[in-house]
Amino acid sequence: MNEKELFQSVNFESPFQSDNRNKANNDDELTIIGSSTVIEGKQDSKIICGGNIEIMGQVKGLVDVAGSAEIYGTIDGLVNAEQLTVEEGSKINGDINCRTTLSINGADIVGNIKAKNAYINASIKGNIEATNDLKIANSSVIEGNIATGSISIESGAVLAGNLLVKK
Amino acid sequence: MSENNRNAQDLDEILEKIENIDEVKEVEVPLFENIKFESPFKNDDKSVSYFATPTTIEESDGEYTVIGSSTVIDSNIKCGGNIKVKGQVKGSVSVNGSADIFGTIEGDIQANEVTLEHGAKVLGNIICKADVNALDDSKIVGNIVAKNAYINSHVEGDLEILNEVKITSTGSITGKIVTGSISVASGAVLNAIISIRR
Repeated sequence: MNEKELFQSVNFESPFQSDNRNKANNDDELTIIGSSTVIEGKQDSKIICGGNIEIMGQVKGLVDVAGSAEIYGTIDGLVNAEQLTVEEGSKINGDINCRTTLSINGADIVGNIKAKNAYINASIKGNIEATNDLKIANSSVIEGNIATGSISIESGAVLAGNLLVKK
Repeated sequence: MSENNRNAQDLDEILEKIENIDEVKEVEVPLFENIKFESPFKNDDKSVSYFATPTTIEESDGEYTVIGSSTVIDSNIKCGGNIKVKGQVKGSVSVNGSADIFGTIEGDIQANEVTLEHGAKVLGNIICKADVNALDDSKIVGNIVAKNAYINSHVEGDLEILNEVKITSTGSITGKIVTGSISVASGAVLNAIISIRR
């Protein structure tokens, strides 16, 4: 048996296979802020994330995400993301800048919103600017001005503010 | 000076010495009884002594917070579950469960258990209820307080260990070590003052 044949018959078993911690998440670029986690305490607190992020806990400070962000928790500060999904029960107290698609479902937001496309089904206190398209679903309550390229408003939505639709 | 005065002076000196002896005895009270662990969690019983079995928050049992490899957090982190730091944290990290560090932390760490994986770097103190495990290629600049410490890495700082310090052949420590017992493998680099107490 030559050297090549020898190694072909060897089954290499990784010593890490039994380690559940390594199995839990293979995606190195994903950041998860667990529901019991609180990030705060510095004057210029910030999270700068090169990949994607999921926030279940509480964050005080700037959140800057290169990829997509999913919010289930509470953020007290500016949020920048490529793509942003805000899920039910979450709260954002600060401005939102989203470079592509923003989707807000049943959240509570105090701050100005900028996005390319936005779907909103939430309570919002602040101005909304959607450069391309804006959809407002029936359980929305919006206090603030809206500027967008095109809009659709489902019956039942509550609006208080100026509306500007301009191509 | 009369003889009575002299006797009185001698007595004073003796009394002073006795007082000093008492002071020394006070110092020799086991080091770890004096350490109070302040939990970052409000629902945690603060009267629990430092090395008592950790109280866990039910909700967060087994929960993981993960700091991705390209993420930088410039803030303090408090976490009821466990944490994995692959990226960079500039600020303190307080964890109820275990802290698994692959990246860099510039700040103090408080956790039940701390593991530094290959390539991890900690610039700050580590306070740990159970074990600190520093794998090779990792680096700690700061003090370590823990129950047990397994050092395969480079440490610059003082160690206060209740039970056991194990330094393997790739380990190196510069600083003071106070411990219950110590084992050093040949090849380890030590530039330390060591005190072993029971």
